[in-house]
Amino acid sequence: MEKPWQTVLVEDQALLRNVLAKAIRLDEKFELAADVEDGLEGKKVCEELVPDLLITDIHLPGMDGVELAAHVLKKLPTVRVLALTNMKDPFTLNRLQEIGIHGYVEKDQPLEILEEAMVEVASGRTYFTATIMSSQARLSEDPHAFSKVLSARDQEILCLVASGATSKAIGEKLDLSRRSVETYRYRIMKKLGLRSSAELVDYAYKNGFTKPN
Amino acid sequence: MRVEDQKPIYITLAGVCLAGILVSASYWLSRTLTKRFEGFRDDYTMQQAFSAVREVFQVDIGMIRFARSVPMREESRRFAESGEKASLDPLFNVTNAESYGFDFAMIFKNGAEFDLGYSFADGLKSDVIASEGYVDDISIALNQREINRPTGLIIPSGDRICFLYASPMRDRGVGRWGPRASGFVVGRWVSDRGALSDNYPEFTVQFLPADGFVWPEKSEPFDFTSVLRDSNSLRLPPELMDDGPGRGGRTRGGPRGPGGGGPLPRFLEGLLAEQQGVPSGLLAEARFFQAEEPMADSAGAMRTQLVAKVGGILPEESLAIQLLLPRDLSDAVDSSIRLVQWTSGGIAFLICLFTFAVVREIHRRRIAEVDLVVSNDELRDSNEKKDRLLSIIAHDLRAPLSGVVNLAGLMLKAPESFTADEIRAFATDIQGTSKRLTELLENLLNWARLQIGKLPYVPVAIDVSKMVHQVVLLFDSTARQKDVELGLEVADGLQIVGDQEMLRTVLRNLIGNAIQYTSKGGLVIVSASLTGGFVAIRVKNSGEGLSQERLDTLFELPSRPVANDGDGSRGAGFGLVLCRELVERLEGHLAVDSKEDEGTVFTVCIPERLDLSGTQRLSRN
Repeated sequence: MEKPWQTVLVEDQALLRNVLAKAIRLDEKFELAADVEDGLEGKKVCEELVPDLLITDIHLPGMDGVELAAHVLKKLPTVRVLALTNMKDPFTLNRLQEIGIHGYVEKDQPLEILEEAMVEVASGRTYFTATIMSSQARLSEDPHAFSKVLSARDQEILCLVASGATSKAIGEKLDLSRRSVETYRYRIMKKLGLRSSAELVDYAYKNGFTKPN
Repeated sequence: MRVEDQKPIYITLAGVCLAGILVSASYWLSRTLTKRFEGFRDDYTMQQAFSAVREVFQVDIGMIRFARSVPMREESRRFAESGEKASLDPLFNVTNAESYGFDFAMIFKNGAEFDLGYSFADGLKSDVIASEGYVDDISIALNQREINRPTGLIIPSGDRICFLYASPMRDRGVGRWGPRASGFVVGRWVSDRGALSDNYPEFTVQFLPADGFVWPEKSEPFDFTSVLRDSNSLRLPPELMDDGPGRGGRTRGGPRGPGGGGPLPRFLEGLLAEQQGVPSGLLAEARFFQAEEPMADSAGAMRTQLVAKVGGILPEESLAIQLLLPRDLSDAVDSSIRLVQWTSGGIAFLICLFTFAVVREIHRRRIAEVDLVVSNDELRDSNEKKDRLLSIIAHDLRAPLSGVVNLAGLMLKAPESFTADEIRAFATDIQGTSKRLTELLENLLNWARLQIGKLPYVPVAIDVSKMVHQVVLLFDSTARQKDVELGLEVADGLQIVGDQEMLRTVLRNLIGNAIQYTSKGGLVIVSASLTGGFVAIRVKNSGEGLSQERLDTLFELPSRPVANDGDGSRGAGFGLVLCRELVERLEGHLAVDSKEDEGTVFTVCIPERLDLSGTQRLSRN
């Protein structure tokens, strides 16, 4: 028997966190190094402990799960990262895919699936449930999918637009003039084939372009 | 869309331009037509005038012929000497009058002394009595002219009479014109405003004294005599055209008229052979003027006014003849032009009307379109809001439940691994989660009912102090569990009128939130007091406070699940949305004040009211 995989769990919901922590403790293949509820804390713990496996929620206080995962994947290449979330929107899934996440499991999957995913990801393979696969397939089929037409900057701005920020506020945040932001906005609408701001916001919302925390 | 909005303006402009073009085109057309037709009318009028005048002239020629045929020399001398008038009788019959075209014939003796006269009116011959007015007129005229020379033809003027005066009875033996000379007058009545001749009943003629006559302005004289001269249709009787040497004044010798082959017809030359420099004819010497403006005749019909200045035997006796010619053609022209103008005006009006209708319709459609877009947007907005809400609710309800489900799975799988402490801890978690889920559901239901107007509103007098106490008491254990101090500063006897459940829900949400967002060892103070007629309930906590960004959207439906601090059950964030709507329903106001690191204060202000009377009126409103 090999040494159990050191695991860090980041989950903001107390009951689920406690249950998962207990489940990990019960599993011999894993050893729970830490369980935290905050994204920033998760980042700190990962940097300190450099675990074998990071299981993280996406919707987190402090720091967005995607950002946490991206940071860990970049800074700590030995850490395997598994996303555990209820977020199923194309934007989030696409972001996860883009940062090169190793695995994705929805929260409503039974514990067995989670265990299977944990083992797969920890052993150096990847594990994705059908949700993310089909979403990615849809994106790759659609020639107008945002992942194909929108640049990273476009996506960033679209997120801010979706959060209800004005062009001025977005400009201040990104150090752009109000006019450039409006030009971006207009180009995004054109790229996505949308006709009004309302449609843009609707699109952003439906595709999960919500502002990362 | 704004660009499209300008379209009706362009269409209006185009319509107005089109109508303008049409109106100016029709103006141009009618002007051109008017000019052309005016030319035609002038020509036509002239021709009419020539014909009419020629007719008159021929009548005059008839009179001249008669005057010329009156027995001269011997017969007349005999007549003069014997006083026998019967010798002239054959001449004075109706047939002669008709064939020569005169209305009366009179003989004057010794200048103005009336001797004999006949009138041939109505085809009958009747005696002219010396007392008749026109006999006087002629007498006066003859007197005034002191006619003492042989005259073939003279044209005196009278108010109503035009006559030719022949003075064939001269005393050749004496060799001078004596006072006994007699005159023979033939003439015809010309009524003041009468028809010129039978053939031109439409033409009226009027003789006017030239002295008092106002010549029309802008009138141009034209050479009428040349027209008469050139007219081939004017045929005079041969005896007049080629007067024999034994007859008339011409045989008397003396200088001829002004130059052989001169401007006057030969018969006139003959007649006026010895009257050099004297105007020679009724119309041949006339100068005609056409007045520019048409003139109404006595019947009110519009006529072309043609005025001629006719010389009498003496220059000072010149008179004006006013001819009023019918304007049949010009009326037709005028009405044609008017028709063109009216038609084009009508078409222009129709175009304007059509443009107006089109613009109106476009405008109406545009408004309808905008309305549609607006209502569409509103629909989409509310649909989006609903979608968003549903997904937030789904998330907020499912998130805590996944923990419960997983826990159940784990318990089933490894029940033996749970220690009593663990079970206690999990049970507490489940309890807390369930409680918050219940709260969430309750808020959700209330909010939904409020949206569709089904939330019952039962106004009663509420003792606010008492209710605040009760609600705070409910949260006592929660606060203690979280190690948050819950303070209470409530004045007594605060009363409002409103729905109890609504106020309770508001207080529950505000106090629950305050405790939840206060970290361990923090402080939540609930206070209530009377301020300026309002009952103010304040819920203050010592938490981190809210960012400006969060404050801005605090009372709006969140666009995404709000990150929360633990169990995810309160994340929907519409507890506050519900609170605001409920407070507004209670005719109050919900405000928030927050400074980072200093905590947040929520203030509910509701008008103080002691009984129901005022409220029911308000709630009905």
